Amino acid sequence: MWSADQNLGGGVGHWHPHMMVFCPYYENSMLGNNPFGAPLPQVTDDAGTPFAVVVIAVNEKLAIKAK
Amino acid sequence: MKISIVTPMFLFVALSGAQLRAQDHKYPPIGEYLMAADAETALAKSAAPPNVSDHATIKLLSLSGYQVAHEGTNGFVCMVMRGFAAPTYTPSQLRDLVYDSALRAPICFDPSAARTVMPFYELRTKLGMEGKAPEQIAAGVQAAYVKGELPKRSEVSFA
Repeated sequence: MWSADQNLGGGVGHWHPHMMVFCPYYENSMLGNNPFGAPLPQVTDDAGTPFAVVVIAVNEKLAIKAK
Repeated sequence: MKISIVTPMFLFVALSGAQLRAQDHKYPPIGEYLMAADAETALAKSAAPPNVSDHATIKLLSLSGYQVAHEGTNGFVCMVMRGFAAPTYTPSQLRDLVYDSALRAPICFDPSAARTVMPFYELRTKLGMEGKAPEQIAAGVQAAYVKGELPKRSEVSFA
């Protein structure tokens, strides 16, 4: 989410601070088919299922450092 | 224009990294997923602004799953998700992130998500810590959802 210290693995590592929205059955097409990894709203996980996750990046300046 | 140039590289790096690990198909020692309590608490709280996380319940990962380390007052729950929180179905290449013991994804569930979504991630974590492969985790989650052992997802919630 907003952490400046997140490590999302898989070669991604740190990504933009972001909100996560749990939107059952959402498809990426419902958000404009924004590409995976772009700093735009997108369904990142499990599109079209009860477990679909929408990620919305927020301004990098809002990242929160662990302390 | 910048997005269209950057994204394919991002996607390539992300997927190829997961694919490389997938070749192993083996979990690292469970200790590699664990953290010192103080560091994990600080990392969990960094998932949301202090006006949220300072009053949230904090859960830490132990050998027996996530345990409450601090009871909050605002209904939010903050924790650090591990690779076990990888996608259940798609993108299929990223399901193998369960094997990535370095992944740290701090998250604060809002009160609704804490009730309806967090149990899903806790079940995924339990199954992963039992050594289940991604397809076995998916089967376990699916079965639990169908049987009503996981809350039905009928509303939008946030983290």
